[in-house]
Amino acid sequence: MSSPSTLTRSQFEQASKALIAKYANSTLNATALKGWSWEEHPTFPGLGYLSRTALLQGCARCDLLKDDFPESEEVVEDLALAHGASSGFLTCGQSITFSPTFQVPAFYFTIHDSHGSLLTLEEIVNTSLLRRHALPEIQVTPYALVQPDALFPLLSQGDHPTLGTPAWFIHPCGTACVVGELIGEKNAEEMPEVSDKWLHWLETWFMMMGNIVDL
Amino acid sequence: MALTPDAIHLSSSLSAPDPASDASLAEGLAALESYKKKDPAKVVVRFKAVGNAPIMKQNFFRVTVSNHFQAVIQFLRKELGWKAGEPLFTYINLAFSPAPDDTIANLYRSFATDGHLIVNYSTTAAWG
Repeated sequence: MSSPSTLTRSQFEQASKALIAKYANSTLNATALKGWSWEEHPTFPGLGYLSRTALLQGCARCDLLKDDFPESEEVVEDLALAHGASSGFLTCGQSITFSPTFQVPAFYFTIHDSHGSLLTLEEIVNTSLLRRHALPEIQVTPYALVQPDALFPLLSQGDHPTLGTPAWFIHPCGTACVVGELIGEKNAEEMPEVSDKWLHWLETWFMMMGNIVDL
Repeated sequence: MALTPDAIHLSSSLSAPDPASDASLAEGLAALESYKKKDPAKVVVRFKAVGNAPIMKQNFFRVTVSNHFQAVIQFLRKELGWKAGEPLFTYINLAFSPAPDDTIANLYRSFATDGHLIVNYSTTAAWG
């Protein structure tokens, strides 16, 4: 049985900077690993995190806007309004921060539509960010995605550890076990030796996250 | 009313059949028909358990390439007797987690090793 695998904050920072350097100009089709930048807290050092903004396609607000339209033929025929309701590009601010409680990275994100309004959890579940097939028996409450018999919700709201702003985050309590298991398996299969052990850890973390988040 | 040059051109194009556009239309329809046909070819998928995941007696299966990866996930769940709510995570070559709508054809073409597509599977709960 593989042991849980964690990393320290400095190892996380080292791995993150190595990831950015490795994939900055890479021609690999590894969209999950590209486009990240390292951000620091404006005042306090040592609270850095990976940050990225992604555009998602979705029309989460379409149905809501339709309900708000008054029942008038003139409005329905107004092409400008109709176009605005269906232009569903969503902005997703993504962060990978260090969780000192669990000693692993944690994925935080916010999503808002083209008008700047934050999406509700039900709308987020319907975007392309989360892989629906990975959420088979999930209860969607207004504040969290809850799995039956689980101690913690899969997805819930929390304050971004460095920015302090509200965001959604994937709970990292199972991360250490799963990444440890995967790294143990890679070592057992005698895969080519990695030059940067912590970068390898982070890449394995991304692989694990790919099960639920379409990065 | 006298016809304008544009109207004459339009009316002549409507009345006389254009062999070139008929040929390209036929070609387009043929392309659509061939795209609709599902490739019956099969490739070998090899399942490899990760960590404490149950090991199956048989790990090699033939899968039709036109299937999406979602079909492989559902097949694996059925073979393991794993219900929908129980955690099951899949990886290709322990390198990435494929999207459920990726086709087996593309995955095999890009990532097959030694004539089979390696699908690693893990049952360790990752979330919550």
